[in-house]
Amino acid sequence: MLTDETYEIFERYLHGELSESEQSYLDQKIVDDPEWAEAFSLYQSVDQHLRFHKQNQEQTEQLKQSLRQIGNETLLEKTNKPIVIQFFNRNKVWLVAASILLLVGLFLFKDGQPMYVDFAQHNTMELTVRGANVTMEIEAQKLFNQGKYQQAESLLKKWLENQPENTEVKLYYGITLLENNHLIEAQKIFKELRTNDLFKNTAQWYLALTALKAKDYKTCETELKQIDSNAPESSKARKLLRKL
Amino acid sequence: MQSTTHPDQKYITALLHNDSKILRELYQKFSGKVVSFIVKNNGDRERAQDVIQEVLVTIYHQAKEKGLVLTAPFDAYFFLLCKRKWLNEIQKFSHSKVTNLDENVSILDDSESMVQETEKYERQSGLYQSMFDKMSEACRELLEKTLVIKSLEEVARIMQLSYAYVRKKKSECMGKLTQMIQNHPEYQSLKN
Repeated sequence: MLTDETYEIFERYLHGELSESEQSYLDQKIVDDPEWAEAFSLYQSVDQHLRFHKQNQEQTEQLKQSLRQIGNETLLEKTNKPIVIQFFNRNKVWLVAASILLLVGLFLFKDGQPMYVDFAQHNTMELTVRGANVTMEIEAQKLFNQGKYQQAESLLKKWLENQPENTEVKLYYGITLLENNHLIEAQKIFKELRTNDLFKNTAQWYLALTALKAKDYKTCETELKQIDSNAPESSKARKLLRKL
Repeated sequence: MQSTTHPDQKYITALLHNDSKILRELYQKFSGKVVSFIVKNNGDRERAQDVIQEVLVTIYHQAKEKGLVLTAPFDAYFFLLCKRKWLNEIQKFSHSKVTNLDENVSILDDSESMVQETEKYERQSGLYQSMFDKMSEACRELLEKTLVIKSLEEVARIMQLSYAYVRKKKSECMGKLTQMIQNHPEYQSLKN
């Protein structure tokens, strides 16, 4: 029979707090009682597993972002390939050559200027939501963290309408707009956030990213230069400035 | 056991280190087959991208938590995982007709056992997490804190409670959680 006391013994075992006699008691129970043995093993497994996932959350999100980006590039983005094939079939060699030159040119251009996707790494959304009816908020965060920005946008918008003063929600809503290519609206949100001392540098960084996504490199540079040198964003800002 | 590690372990290492160069290579080499399977079976490229990403994240978790070692080529292992995930999904949501069900099964003995391990790991994670989500808010909040902050003393200090009380409460919540897991039908099949 397992009681609250049983689980407390398991917990104290995990923290190395059992006395010698308690340890012998636990060892014996595990040998004698399969119910204890199974529960003890599961208790440790669940504790380890949940701890691992919680502590690894940020790295998992970073990996998901990289995979999303690589997946978008390798599986979804359209290439100029079909045009080349079509020209080739018509046997117009000069057009093939022109296409290849164009492609080479495009790649060179791509390498020459920094890409938005290389710098768009967003923090995980982990806002505390309280109350009985918070399904929408939980879903919004989940979608955002999964990189499903299209679906997250309307939920974050609604959330912000309910809590217009919640600057964190505003930031994530702005990021969602940026991801969904609503650049003007995103810019408006980040400019509003810039007036808040706590969010000033983050908003400034995102204004730079908005300009980068619009391929407005000059504005991007100006925005980056306004980030405080001791702000957490300053190192990535310097990195991006070097590439501009 | 070092000699049994397959050279494709480099893809596991790339997941662990978020190495975009090798991960790009992984996508270029192995995703085409998955995409065409999913597209042929009532899916589209976007769904294929989701399936590939979910499978890679599971592999990453298993590698990081349990030290997954690849003993078979990545190609077959990865394809089979993606394929079975997709088949599970479409069977869950519709009665769509599935083609190519038996493709490649006979040559996958080595990969099969690895696939089973990874699927077991994923089901176990899913079960633990879904039972955790069903717990009371008070339990979830306390456990969340104890998972992030290693020392219970620190949790007690932050929550302005006594150490003994926090330890007791944590063990009660964990006890409830383990019982919920044990009472779930999925648990029995995971044990075997």
